[in-house]
Amino acid sequence: MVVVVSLLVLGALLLNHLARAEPRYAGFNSVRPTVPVVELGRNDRVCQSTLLPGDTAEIEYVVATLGRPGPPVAVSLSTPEGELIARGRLEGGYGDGRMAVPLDRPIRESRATVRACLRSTASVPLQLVGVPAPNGGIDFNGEPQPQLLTLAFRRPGAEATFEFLGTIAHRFGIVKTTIAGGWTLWAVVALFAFSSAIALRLVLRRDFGEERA
Amino acid sequence: MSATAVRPGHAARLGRRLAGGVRRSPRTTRRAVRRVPRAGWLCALVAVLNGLVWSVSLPPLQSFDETLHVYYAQYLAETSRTPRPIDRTVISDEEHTVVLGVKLFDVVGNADGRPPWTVIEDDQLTAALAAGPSRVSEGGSGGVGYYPPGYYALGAVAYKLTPGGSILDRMAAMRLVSALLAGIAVLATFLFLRELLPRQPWTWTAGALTVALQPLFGFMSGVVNPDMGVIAAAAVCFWLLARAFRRGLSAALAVAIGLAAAAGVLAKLAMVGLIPGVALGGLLLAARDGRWRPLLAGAGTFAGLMVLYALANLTYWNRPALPFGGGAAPDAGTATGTTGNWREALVYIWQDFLPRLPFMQDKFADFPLWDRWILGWTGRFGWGDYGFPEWVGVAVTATFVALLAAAVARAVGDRPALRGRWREALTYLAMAFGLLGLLAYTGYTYTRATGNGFEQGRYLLPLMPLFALVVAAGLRALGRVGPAAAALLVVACVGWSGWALLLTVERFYT
Repeated sequence: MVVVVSLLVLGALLLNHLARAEPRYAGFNSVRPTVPVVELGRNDRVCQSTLLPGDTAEIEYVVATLGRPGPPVAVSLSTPEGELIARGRLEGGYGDGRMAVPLDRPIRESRATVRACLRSTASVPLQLVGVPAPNGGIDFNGEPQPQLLTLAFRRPGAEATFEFLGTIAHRFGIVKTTIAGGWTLWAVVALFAFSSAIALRLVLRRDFGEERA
Repeated sequence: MSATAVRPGHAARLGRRLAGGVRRSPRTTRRAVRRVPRAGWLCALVAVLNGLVWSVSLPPLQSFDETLHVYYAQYLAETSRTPRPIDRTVISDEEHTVVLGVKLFDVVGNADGRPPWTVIEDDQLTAALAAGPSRVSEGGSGGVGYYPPGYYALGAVAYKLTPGGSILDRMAAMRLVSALLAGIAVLATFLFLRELLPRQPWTWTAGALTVALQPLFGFMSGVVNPDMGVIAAAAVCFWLLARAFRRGLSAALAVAIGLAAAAGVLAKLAMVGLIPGVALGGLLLAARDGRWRPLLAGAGTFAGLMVLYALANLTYWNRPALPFGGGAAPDAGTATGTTGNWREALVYIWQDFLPRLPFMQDKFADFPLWDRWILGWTGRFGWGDYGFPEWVGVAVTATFVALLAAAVARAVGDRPALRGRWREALTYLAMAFGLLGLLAYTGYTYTRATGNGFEQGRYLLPLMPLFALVVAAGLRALGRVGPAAAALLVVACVGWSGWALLLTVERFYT
């Protein structure tokens, strides 16, 4: 009885966790948000090449606003050949931390390389966070600079883990073995359930607790 | 411990009688193996399956120093040689391609870092590997130039047996070696408990399952790391010694103990910390039974294998005969002048596990026993960059202390029965303190040489059989509610383990 109740409690905790809706990411460029590397003034523009993951609805920068409300900004995403993929705009007034700029159209497919540009449209200074990168890759008002910006790509809206499981399963199969795929996560869940069932079966046997003479 | 303990007055005679009874030990041992209860095999299966689950759940190379361990196994598989303590290139171009392809060092320690999620990146890595980067480096140290090859030899076998030649497949196969070793460790823990608590079979299962489901143990079971070799060898040593204390030290048992101890040392030098305790156990057994030949056979086996290893180092692998290095990267404590002084070392060792005394210089900014050893042991994963909230450590520690208190209270009541087991208790304590002492001293030399912290909870995993013993003895001490408490504990461990996997999914895939 105790075991059944505790299993039910565990199950309820898991369901509660999986049902919690929150904003989700489509991808990160995995650049560490270490130090401010660029400061934008009015009409300054910084661009960086990046992989653009599918299902992106917002592009996110890590910023410092020096204690003042952040300035309005505009972003554009374009192919290396210059073809516009999407635009975005964010009103000012945000603070330090993560600044997510919504795009005017959803990105369906991943693209290996796009050029992501951010322009400040007010004179309030805005610092962008990233890392120094001697071989790196931004250009600031057309000038190459040895820095990289921290970027992240958000999916639309907020999703519960339940709704998001297919995406997690897809990611689970990437850069693993040659046979890994979207099925791998489900295989892992099944294996863990099986091993847990063996463990529970062992302690729920009728003779569990008997002693030898 | 068991009420069937050898009473002091009869210990020597009983020991001799038992030892005589196991002269036909090969057959007896085989029969004993066949007599392993089904529950023991199932506990081992749980450990293997959990290791498999972890091995697939973690992205490639996302565990402590896995880059170096994969390097060693690959180098051994490709060249039949070990890395050497020399300043040459370390990981192969092929592995370096994987390191870049999985964005390893952009992810490690970076909350904003994730491994590749897109098919584009998967294809890019596949294409880069298809270009045929070299599989052999110059065999430099990288911190593992002093490491023995035992564990890596198993990894090399898995590497060679993997069809297709994909490095990602080979790395996955090497991780499975650790899962199998986890199965051995859990089975040995089960058998260890069977020797110590022979009248309560349910405690064997409960203790072994808490090991199999312990998240850090599961995590280590799913990655390429020689710690798993030490963990398995240590568990086998604990079991065989318990068997010897109960049944007498036969020559076969002594040889088996020597083999297990040597296998542990050949897996990773951390096993050296357990050897004084194992040797002490052998001496106490021989003295108790009045039979020294088995001890000589066991010691000879161990020494013989060490000599062979030393010769292989000197002749074939061109390394120092018995190389002793510190933790992974760089070779702590091996350079001249990095060993410090004894007074400083003792202060460090004290503070590694105990609160600083007023006259001591402060060696740590934190309290290592809690912040590094206990919280690390209760669950810190990847390259140590994610884990449970601190209250989990508090809950686990409180449960452990409660079980320990119950076990001690019961033991105090069983004093007459336990009095004859002092040799055995002393042996296990010597093994535990030997390992802790070695870890603390290695931490001292490592920190002195590199300025980095050394202590990680995973280094305590060779003592898992003692953890299981506390759990099992504590549950037994609870009397009639013991089995229900055991079942509850196993459910909690399933939840603990599942939560660790959920954290892993959230760390790398969301």
